[in-house]
Amino acid sequence: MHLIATLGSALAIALSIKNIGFLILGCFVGLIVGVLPGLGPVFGVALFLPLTFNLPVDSSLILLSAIYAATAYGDGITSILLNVPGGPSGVAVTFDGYPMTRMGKAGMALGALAGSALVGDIIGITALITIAPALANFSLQLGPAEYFSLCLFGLAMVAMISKGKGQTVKGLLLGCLGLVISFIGRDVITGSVRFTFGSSFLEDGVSFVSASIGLFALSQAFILAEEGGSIAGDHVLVSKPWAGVAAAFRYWYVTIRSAIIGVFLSMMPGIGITTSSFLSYMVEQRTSKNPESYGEGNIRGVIAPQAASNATASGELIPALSLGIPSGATSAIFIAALTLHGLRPGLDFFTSGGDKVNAVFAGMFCAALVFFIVGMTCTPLFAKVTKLPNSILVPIITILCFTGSFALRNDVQDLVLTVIFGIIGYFFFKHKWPVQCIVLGMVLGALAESNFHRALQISSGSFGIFLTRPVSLILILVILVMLVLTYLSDPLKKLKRQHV
Amino acid sequence: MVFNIGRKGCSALSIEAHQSPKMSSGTIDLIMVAIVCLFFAVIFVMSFFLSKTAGMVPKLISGLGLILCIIQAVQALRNMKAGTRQGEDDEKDNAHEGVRWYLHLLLVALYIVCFIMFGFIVATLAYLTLVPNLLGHKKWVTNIIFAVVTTGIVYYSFVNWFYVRLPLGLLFSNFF
Repeated sequence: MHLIATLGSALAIALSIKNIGFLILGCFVGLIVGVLPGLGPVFGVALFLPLTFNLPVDSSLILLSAIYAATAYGDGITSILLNVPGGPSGVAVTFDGYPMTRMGKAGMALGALAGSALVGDIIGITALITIAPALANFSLQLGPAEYFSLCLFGLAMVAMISKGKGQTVKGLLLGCLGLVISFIGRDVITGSVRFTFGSSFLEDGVSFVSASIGLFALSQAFILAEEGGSIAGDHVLVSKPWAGVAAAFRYWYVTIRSAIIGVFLSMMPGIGITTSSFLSYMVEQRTSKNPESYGEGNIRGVIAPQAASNATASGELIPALSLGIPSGATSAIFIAALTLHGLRPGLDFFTSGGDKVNAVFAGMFCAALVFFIVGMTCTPLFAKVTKLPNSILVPIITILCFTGSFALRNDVQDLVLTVIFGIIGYFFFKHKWPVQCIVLGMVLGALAESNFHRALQISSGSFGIFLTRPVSLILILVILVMLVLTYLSDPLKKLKRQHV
Repeated sequence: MVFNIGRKGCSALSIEAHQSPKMSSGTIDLIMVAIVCLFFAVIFVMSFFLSKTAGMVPKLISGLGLILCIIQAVQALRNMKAGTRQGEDDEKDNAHEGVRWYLHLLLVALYIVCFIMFGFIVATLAYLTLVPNLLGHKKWVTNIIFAVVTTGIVYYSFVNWFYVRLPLGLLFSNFF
């Protein structure tokens, strides 16, 4: 009853004519920012934050919520069409989304993306309204040792989902590479400068945005330039977006399971959309009867990461709004927005926030519906991008890569960084190394290192803390068991066949 | 707008590129492992010159990276001995009709130099006019219209909607 009453009140606020305008504007901005390579929700929300100063509180919260929710969906569009994730959350969608495009099923994949994003968002918002306090309390029980193990768990899982024989070692290797890259710059604990080779530019660290644009977008431009022709080639674009939406509901267990994983992980600071989308993909692949079909254009490989991404986007606001603790960069900016409007996040916000709380719920909920409608309407248009000749598409991608990379810090050196990572990405993609592991290593580097040191401080320098804390021990055991199973799976299958 | 480019629309650059020799996937894997290994080794050595706190995790991770490099190198050597099937697959994957990556990289490098010297608008206009032509889309008029429209849209949206200051270039910044 509480949920229905809250949603009713939220809808009443959102459906005023003024707020519908902000809702649609937020969705369009979110979709555009999401589609542009490298520009994620942080960029979109941060960019529009100054514009909300003069707006009423409810309108500004609706605008920011709509941008936030639509960006998580927009990130997946280019992942499907161009194999270029609009942001880190779109990386896992590329695994099966792009092969579907290659098969001429771009429309269907985009439909599945919209359907799963809608369901993921609704589940995330439902969690935001109902189970926020309980889950937020659970995340508070996790200490530094658990966070460190969780980082290792995230990295190991991503390495293990990498397709093909011998890919796990490559995945782990690239995960370590990502971690080491994240160590460049100022140390998170002592503040001392390390591994900069005398460059003042590197003192702030390797820009994650420039690196991910290079690894995923520019490298694709190099590959597409080599291939010639067009992405979809001679395939006829079977534009069946509604069949994709139907698939998101037909595989309801995939959608709901992934959304729940997304909500659960959104409670944990720093884990974020990227990890949740990877993890949900891995869960689906591992539990599937045909795991080898993943990575070859399996529609469940699109549904799972997108449902998790959108559920995480909504769920990230749970600890941010109820405890004032951001679980990611975007929710941190959201807290800043609340503070700018004289609101204090925390228990007070929920107990005495009134209309403001409902404005956030309304923004997220209606944004889900609006980006679904916009997405479905424009899907045939989006799908036509794949028929553009690469000679036209490559220069556009390259220009967007450099403009996006330059936009964040207004520094030309970021362009050079993008090129370096573009070359690295090109070789790794070309020779089928799991590039996504580098990105995950870079995301988790600072979090893993700071929690490692905190755990050691608590235990007075004893490494035993990682094995004596139950959650940490379980995570480490799961990693070990999964690693062993990965290597034993082939001999076990052979044994089974011999018995048969 | 319909762009009629067939798969035959290759530039002279690409024809030259097709004649380059190919390496087996095992050899390429080994080269890549060696480069990554070198990077880990540099970080591993450098971390000994840092304070205990700042160097501990980089030392552990780069050490682990070195071990994984050895495992991967052994695996690559085994694959090389096992046969050439993988190599044949790669050869199929490497079939291409456009321009080689390093030639495209050269164009990208030229774009960055122009970006710094002449600013976003001039560099982008030049890049978008020339590159489609080099990649096989030989219609100059269409390319110029495409360049002007795309540059305009990107410039307007980034400057007016996203409030990103795109550079005027070292040569023009004194005049504006």
